[in-house]
Amino acid sequence: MDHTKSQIKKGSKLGGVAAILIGVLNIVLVVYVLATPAGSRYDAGEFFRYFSESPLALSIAWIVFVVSAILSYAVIPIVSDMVTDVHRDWARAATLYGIVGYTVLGIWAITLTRTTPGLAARFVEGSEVTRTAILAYGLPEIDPDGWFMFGGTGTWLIVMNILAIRGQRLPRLQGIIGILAGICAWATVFGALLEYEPLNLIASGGGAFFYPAWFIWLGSRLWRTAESGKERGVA
Amino acid sequence: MNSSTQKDRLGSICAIMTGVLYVFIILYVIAVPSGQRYDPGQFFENYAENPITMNVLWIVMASIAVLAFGVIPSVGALVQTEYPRLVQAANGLGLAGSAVSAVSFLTMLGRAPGLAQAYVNGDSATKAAIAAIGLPQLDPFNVLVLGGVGAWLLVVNLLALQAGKLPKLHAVMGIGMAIFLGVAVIAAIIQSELLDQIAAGVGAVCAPVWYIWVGVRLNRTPAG
Repeated sequence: MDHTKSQIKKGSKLGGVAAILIGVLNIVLVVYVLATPAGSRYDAGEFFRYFSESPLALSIAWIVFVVSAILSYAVIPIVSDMVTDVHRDWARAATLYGIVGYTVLGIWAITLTRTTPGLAARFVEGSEVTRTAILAYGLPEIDPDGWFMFGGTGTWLIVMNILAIRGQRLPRLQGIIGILAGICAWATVFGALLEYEPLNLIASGGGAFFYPAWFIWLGSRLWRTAESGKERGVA
Repeated sequence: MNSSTQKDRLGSICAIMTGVLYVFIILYVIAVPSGQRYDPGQFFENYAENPITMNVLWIVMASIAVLAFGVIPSVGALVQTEYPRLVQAANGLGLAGSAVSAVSFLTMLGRAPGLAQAYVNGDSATKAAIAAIGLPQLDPFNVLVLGGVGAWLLVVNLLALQAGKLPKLHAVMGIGMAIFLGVAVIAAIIQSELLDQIAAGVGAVCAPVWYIWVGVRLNRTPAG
């Protein structure tokens, strides 16, 4: 086996394991929506009070986001390899959106994990002036509406799955599931932007199904491809 | 379609759109009172009164940064010479700068309305706290936002000039733009309004021309 083939085989296995793990971790993310009262997602004061009482569910959700972001670096390049000859430019641009999206997601989650406990404690115990100052500044979020965190990753999913369907690199059903996962990611952006809870619930519900299904399916195919020593992804 | 010979349509469209959007950047210098850029208190008061100018500008800046993901790899491929690692590194800097730029502007777009309202409605303690922290900029001196993109522009234009991959005038314009992006970083660090105006003025003239020109060229030239 030449060097390139060997790299592809190794990459597929690594990508496969990472994709399966992302899929499994995404099931946990349903906790984020179920465990967070709707009001606390839009009101910083309620959020801090809620977090100081029960920090566990949100902390787990943020850690899951961080781990998913790190794992995505093993998956995104493999998916890019898979579809790059269907349309190089779109594959390249979408790969960048995916990597940046997951990076922002990871940094967002790390920042919140590190700073929210202190802020919530100071908010609950602080004077009126302290509370006003903390509320005025809110959560130390980057990309608060999720344009990159969810929009970037959603764009990556939509573009890659359209290319995969066009180039017959994935089963049609899996491609459609991937596109729906991408649409759910974008719905999360608009749910946050419009503060429209039904849209947020639809996005989260759909994402809770489509994300794990797509990633676990992809991972198992990448794993099997590597096992059987086939070249170039999952065709 | 064979990907090694296809024209770079996506890169071309993104570059032309970037050039057109850069025209809007001139709005910043014309529309924003100079003190507002360095004094957070004044900024929040002006923003609370009229947020549209800044919001439009931030959306334009974020859009330019997002379009860069289509432009940078394509221009990198266009000027690919015997220094592929250098191009790769420069592309990395340009992409990192664009990513930070997009996230920074989207963060300001998402958080400035609440901060400005809290500042205007707040008591003196709240105002002092908000003004002390200022806008939630990720790269306040624009070291990556402008410096990263400037470094990318400098490398690709120097290589293009050396290998004759771009017309001489085009490449020189790109090098000039890169230098003035560096000047803009220095202006932000030393808070020099004059230097900032000069850099912004040169950028406003050169950027639309350079990007539209490279967009037209990408559409004509098959890139690797």
